Amino acid sequence: MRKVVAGLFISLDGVIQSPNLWQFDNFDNEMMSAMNAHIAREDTILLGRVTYQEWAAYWPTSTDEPYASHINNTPKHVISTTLDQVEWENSTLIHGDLAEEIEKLKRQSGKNIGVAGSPTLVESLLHQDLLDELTLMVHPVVVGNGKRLFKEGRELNRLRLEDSQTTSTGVVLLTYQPRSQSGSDQ
Amino acid sequence: MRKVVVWNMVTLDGYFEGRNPWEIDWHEYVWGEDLERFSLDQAKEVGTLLFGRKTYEGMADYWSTATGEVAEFMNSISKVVFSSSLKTAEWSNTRLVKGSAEEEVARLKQEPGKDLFIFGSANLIASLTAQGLIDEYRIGLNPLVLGGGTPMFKPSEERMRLKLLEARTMQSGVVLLRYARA
Repeated sequence: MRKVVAGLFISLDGVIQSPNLWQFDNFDNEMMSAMNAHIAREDTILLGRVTYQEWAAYWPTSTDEPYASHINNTPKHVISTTLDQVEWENSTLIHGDLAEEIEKLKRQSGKNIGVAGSPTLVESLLHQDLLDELTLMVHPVVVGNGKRLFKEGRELNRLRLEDSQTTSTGVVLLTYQPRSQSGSDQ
Repeated sequence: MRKVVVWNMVTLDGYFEGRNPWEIDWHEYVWGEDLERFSLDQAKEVGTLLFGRKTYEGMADYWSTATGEVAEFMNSISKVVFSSSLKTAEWSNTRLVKGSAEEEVARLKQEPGKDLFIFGSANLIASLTAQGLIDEYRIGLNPLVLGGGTPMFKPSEERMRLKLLEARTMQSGVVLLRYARA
């Protein structure tokens, strides 16, 4: 079955907000190729409301290739309880129950379902045991403050490290497979 | 000049202990031969251990009566605890410093010997970091979201760029990360 996968830029102290402010020269060709490998594995995209609104205002007119073509042309599902409609090409609004909608998408054939940005959605998917793979691109910086990926108050959640790569500028790409919270401890 | 090195096991959500002091039972998920060996190898680099008061109290309480190779190291190594409230420091080979930790650490760095290591001690780490006195941050990143606790890096207005020295994967899924200040 196809997987739901997510990848996020994150600082050593867990901040995911405004990576453009702390990414510096870490977004180099090596990072680009790692990310291109990632997007080559997906043919469906999930977006949270905040990322959708930011990206819908930027990518439709962008020429930053190859990502512009990928994000504009790939079918996008926007998870929001407050939006009435979505206007970005190839996007559909999902209002219903997140778990049911994800199950529906997963039953369809195709490549992976990739979550684009959308840290709040990533956290919800992780919490609801709906995420199959999480790649954290850990940047060599302690940002100090800003929105973090993991919320306080969640129950303990163990993951399994599947892969680890290091870029020459010191970004560590860690791929985790969340363990099923309901399943047995493997 | 000798280095100041910080070492902590940290969860993916950034905590080195849970909501209660010394809530580190999650170490058991990953502790094994490779971390044990790492820990003993690292011990050979240590000249003196530096502690804040809270970490000192927990460590002294635990290690004073523990046995084994790590316990022997912890009890015999030279230690400094920084505290304005402690009256005495009873743990073997420990010196109590009531004055400025920043000044004392700056002075200790000038002395000959092996490196100065800090375990736990988030408050001490924060004040020494602010003065640029820490040379290496060494983290055992655990494949675990804890949901709450004491963060290793306290919130700060200062952004700190680092240089990755090493990333090594352990069998248990812990990733050992070593950073210097950029």
